[in-house]
Amino acid sequence: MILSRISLENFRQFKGKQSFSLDVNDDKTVSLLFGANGSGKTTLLNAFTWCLYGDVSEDVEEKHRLATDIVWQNAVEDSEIPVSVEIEFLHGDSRYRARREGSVRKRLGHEQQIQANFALWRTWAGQTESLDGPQEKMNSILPKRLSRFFFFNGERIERLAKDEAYAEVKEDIKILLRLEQVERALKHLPTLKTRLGGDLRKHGGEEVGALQDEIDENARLRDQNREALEASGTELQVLEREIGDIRRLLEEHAAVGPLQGQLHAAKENREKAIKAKEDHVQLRKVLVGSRGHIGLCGKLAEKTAILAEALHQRGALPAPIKREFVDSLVAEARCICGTDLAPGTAALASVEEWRARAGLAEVEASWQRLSGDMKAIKDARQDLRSHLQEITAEIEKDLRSVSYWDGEVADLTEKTRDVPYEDVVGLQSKEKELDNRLFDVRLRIKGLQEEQENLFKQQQELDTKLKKAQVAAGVASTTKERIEIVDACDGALRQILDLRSTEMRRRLDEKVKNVFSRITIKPFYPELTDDFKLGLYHVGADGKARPVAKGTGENQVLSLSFVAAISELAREVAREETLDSSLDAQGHFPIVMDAAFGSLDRNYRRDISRALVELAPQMVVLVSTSQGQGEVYSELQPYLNHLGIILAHTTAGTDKSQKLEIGGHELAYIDAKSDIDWSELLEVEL
Amino acid sequence: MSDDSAQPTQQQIVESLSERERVFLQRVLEIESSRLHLKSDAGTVDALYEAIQKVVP
Repeated sequence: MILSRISLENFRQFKGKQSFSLDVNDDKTVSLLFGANGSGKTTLLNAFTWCLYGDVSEDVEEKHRLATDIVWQNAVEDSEIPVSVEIEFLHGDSRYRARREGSVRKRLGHEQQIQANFALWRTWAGQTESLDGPQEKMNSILPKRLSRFFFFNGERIERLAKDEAYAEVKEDIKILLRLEQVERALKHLPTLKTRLGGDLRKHGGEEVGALQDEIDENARLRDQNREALEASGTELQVLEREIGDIRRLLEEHAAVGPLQGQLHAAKENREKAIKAKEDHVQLRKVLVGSRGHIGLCGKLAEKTAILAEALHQRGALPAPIKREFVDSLVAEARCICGTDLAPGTAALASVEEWRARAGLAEVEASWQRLSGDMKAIKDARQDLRSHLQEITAEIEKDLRSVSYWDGEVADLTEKTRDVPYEDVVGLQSKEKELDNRLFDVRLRIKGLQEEQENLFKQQQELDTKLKKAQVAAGVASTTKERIEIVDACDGALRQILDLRSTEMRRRLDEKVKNVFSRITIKPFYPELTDDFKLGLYHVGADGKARPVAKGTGENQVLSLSFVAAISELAREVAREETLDSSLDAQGHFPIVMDAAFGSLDRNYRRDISRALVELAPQMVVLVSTSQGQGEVYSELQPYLNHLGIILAHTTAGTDKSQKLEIGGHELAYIDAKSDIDWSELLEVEL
Repeated sequence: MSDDSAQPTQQQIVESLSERERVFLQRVLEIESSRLHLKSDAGTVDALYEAIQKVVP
C-alpha cells in the first residue's frame, strides 16, 4: 500500500475541498508537512484512519464534530454540510481509491452524529470497479489493528514498547507476518472436516460411519482441549502481566524499601510507647482509687501521734504503772502527800476512786495500738507517695518516647513523600503468591499440551484408517477425497505455522536489534522474546544481562525501532511469499507520523529519520518547525518528493503571523490576519 | 526462508502437496485473510466448504 494522494472536504480545520499529493518516485519516498501547533497535523493523521477505518484517535477532542467549525456556523438551519476524506493508493498491481463521506445536518443549532459511507474502487488493467464489501476488502489490504504501526502519533508511540501492549502487539504481528490467518485456518479446518465427516457418515456405509464417530469424538476432545489451552494461555498472560507490574514496582521502590522498613518500625515503636503510657496512667488511676484516701489524710496521723505522746508525757494517758502505784499507796495506807489512808476515810475513798479511774489494760493497749497505727498510716502514705512518684516518672518517660517516635515517623514520612507509596512488603508477598499461581498454570498448560499431542497422534491414526477404508464410488468417494485434501492442508499449515513463528520472531528480533543499535548511543540492546515481548537489556560488568528500566525516551526509540523493523520485515515477507498471490506486495506499508519525534533530542531525531527513511517504502512526516527543521530536514531532504505546509489561518491578530524558512524558501506558516479560523494544505515546489 | 536446517522450508512443504491440495490451501488462506477483521467465525466454515466443493466437484 503506497499512498498517492489525500483529499479532504470540510474535515475539521480543513475547510472546503483540499488535496495533497503523497506519491513516491524511486528513492524519493518522503512527504514532509510542517504545521504549527493546532494547525491540524493530528487532524490530518486522523483523516487517514477515519477514511480507511471510520475511526479517529482517542486524543481527538469533540470527536463528533467532524465538519469545519466556520462552515458549520455559516450554514443555514436544516442544511447539510458534506464531509469527506478520500485516499488514493497503490497496492499490488492495482490502484485503489478509498472514500468515506457523509453529511452533517444543522438542526436547531446542533451538530448531529455523521452517518458516513465507505466506498472502495479498484482500477486494474484499465478497468475500474466499485468493490463489494469495501471495508472487508480494506481490512484485507491493511487490517485495522495493524494500522497503529503505520499511522501513529510520535508522542504516544512509546506505548508499543510497554508491557501491557505485548499481548495485542503479538496478535497484530501475527497478522502482519501472515501467522494469524494460518492459526485461524488451523482452527476452522477441523470444523470443516467434521462437516465433511457428516456427509461421509450419510453415504459411506457402516464401517466408515463408525470410524467417523471416533474421528468426531477425537475432534470434540481436541476442541475442548484447545479451548482449555486458550483459557489457560490467557490466564498465564494476565498473571505474567500482573507479576511484571509488581516486579516493576518493586524495582522502582527498591530504594524506598529500607526507608519504609524504618517507617514501619518507627510507627510500631510509637504505638508501643503510647500503650506503655496508657498502662502507667491506668496503674496510677488504680493506685489513687484504692489507696488515694491515705494521701488525703494529710498530717492527721502525725498530729494524732504527737497528741497521744503529749498526753502520755503529761500522765494524762492511762498506763499500767499508774494503777500499780495507786495500789501501793492504798497498801501502805499513806498518800504521796502524806495523808493517812485509813479505812473508811474520805482520803482513801478518793484514792480508790483514782485507782478505778486509772484505766483498764485494754484502754492502754488501745492507745498503744493507736500510736502504732499512726506510724503505719504515716508509712503507707510515704509508700503511696513514692509509688506515685515512680509511676509519674514512668509516664513522663513514656511521653518523651512518644514524642521521639512521633518525630521519627514525621521525618521518615517526609523522606518517602516524594515517591508514590507502595507497600513493598505487601508487594513481595503478592509476588510470591502470583509466582505460585504461575507455576500451577504452566504445569496445567504443559499437561494440556501433552494431551493435545496424544489426541493429535490418535487423529492421525484414525485418518490413516479412514484413508484405507473402502467406500463406494459417488458421493462417499468424493467426500473422502475432500477430507483427504483438508487433512493434507491441515498438516501443511501446521508445519508452516511452526516454521514461520520461529523464523519470524528470530528475524524481527534481529532487525529490531539492528535498527536500535544504529539509533542509540547507549550500551543497551533490545530483545524480542518467544512470546513477542520486547525488552531492553544491559550487560553489566559481571557479563550478565539485566533488564533496563526504560524511560519515555528509551520507549520511544525502542518503539520506533520496532516499527522500522516491522516495516522492513513485512516487505521481505511479501517478497518471499508465493503462497498467497492475492496478497502480493501486502508488505509495503507507508509510515505516517504525527509529532514524529516526540520529545527526543536532536541526535535521536537525526538517527531515527535516517533509519526510518532507509527502511520504510514511504514516509509521510507531520512536524512542527521545532521538530522538523535542522537535522530532520537535512536527513530527509535527499528523499523528499513532496514538501508541504499546513498554513494556519487564525483570527489571533497580526503580531502572531509567522514565516518558516526552509530549503531556501520563505513560507507563510501562520496567517494571523484571517477573518476566520481554518487550515490550508499547501504544497511547496521543490 | 533459510533452508540450511533439517526442517523443510515453507516452499518444500507447499511443493510436497498435490496440485489440488495446493489450490485448496491457497483458497483457505485467501478466505482467512479476507475475514481477519471479523470477530465472528460464522460463515468461514461455509466459505471453506464451498471452496473444497469447487476443488473436488
